[in-house]
Amino acid sequence: MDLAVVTHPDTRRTETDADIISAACRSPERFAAVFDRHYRHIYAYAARRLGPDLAEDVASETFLVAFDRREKYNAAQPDARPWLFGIALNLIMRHGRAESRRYRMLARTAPDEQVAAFDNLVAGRVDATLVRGRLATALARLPRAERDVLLLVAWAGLNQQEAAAALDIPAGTARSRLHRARQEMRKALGADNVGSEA
Amino acid sequence: MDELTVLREAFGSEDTPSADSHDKARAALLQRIDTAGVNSAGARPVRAGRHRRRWALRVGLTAAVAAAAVLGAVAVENLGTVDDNGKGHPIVNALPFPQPASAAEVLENAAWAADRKPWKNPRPDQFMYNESHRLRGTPEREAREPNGPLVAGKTRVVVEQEWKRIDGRILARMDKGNLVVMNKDEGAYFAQIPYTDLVKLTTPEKVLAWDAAPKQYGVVLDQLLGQYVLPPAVEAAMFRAIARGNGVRLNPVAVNIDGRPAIGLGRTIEGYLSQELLFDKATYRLIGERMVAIADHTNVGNDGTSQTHKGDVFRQVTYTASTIVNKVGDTE
Repeated sequence: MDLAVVTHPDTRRTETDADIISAACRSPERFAAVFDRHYRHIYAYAARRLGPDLAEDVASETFLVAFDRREKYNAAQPDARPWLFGIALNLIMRHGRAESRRYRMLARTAPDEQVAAFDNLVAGRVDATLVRGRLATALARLPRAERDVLLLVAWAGLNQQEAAAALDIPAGTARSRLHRARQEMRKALGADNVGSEA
Repeated sequence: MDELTVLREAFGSEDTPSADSHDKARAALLQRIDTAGVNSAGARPVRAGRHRRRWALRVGLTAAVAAAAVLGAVAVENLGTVDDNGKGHPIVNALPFPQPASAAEVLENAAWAADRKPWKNPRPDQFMYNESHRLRGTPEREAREPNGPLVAGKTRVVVEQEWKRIDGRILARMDKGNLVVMNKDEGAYFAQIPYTDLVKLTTPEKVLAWDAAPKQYGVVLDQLLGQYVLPPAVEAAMFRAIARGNGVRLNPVAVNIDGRPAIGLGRTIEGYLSQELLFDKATYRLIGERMVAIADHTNVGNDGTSQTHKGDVFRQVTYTASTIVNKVGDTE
């Protein structure tokens, strides 16, 4: 006779963020698992935009706000990252001047970047940090709405649809903003200087 | 690497929170949880259906506003002669809509014409060759106002030539008279949409499903057509897919590009910009694209505020060649 094997799946691995948040509405202590999954990423994103000191405040506050709003979480969204990054963005927006100062500082302290032609970057012949100053200047200049989409994709690792959800805007709007922002980055990198004058 | 990768790498590896920061944040959350635990037992999340209804209403309103926007008509400067090379579309005598009265009819004509262009499926070692003339600000003006509009009398035309190997291994560009070749087998990194994916998009339904699917790279259908050389069925499907999108409007005033009459189709973006596709009026071949402001707008950036004025042209590109070639450097 075959032995019947009863398995107990490891629910910690199979539970979605939505499952946990839903459970946290009944048992609030469950929300700590959301923190454990995502705190590091929220901090890293905030640190890139604002620097480590403010990132500490923003990341911490993000989870307090999220916890307070857990009952309004859309349970149809298994991944809570767009929701959390959306909350973090609202907090980052309060520090617009600090973000601007950070970009200016990065622009001033960037290494000599004359050698970093875009084609050399593409070919992997030079280090991307050589163009940090140019990018920092361009980021400071970008309209906020476009910068938010761009950095959610580039730094938070969200795709376009997730970025749209984070910002609570239609996917088409996120797409067009991202497209324009990318063009500005290409311009800053000199990618658009490729070609020959007619 | 593309600009997103550069952006990611230029600012260094991800910052990691200190153990102290992590512990303080977690303790703050646990304290909040402790407080809430007393009061909120039994609460439930909002149902997904309710959220979706609100979203659908908002999207609907946005589309209605976009459809109500009036398209601006902007004169286009002459850029030179568009290169037909005899490889473009034949003159069309039996268009579905000889006198199109809407964007959908123009796009159906374009799809019909695309479906009839000469075509032979390329080998993986052949190249897509795309050439375009881009209207740019003078270097001085671009340095002073890089995000600004093009200003009459302060522009130049830059010829862009690009070769993309079908298998995605090699990308080459002509830069100031020098051919720059990037090869992934030699360490180069660049993003190219897999051709094998693109050739499957033979119906508007497939195009729209692919367009809507999550991707790590951005795709703008309107511009894809000027950057890749696609089979007739795919090009036709893309035109028909664009026709199904919201807010595409026929520019009521015929524009003039390269000295030839053209038809402009515009899609309103963010309420103040119009992304326009330009078609040859005789052949319905796609000959360019541009972005123009159709309303005044204030842009807020960390570095200051700038004004956009109705009629400002931000981008104007004329497609002058789009063909399959055997090797880098070939143009036909």
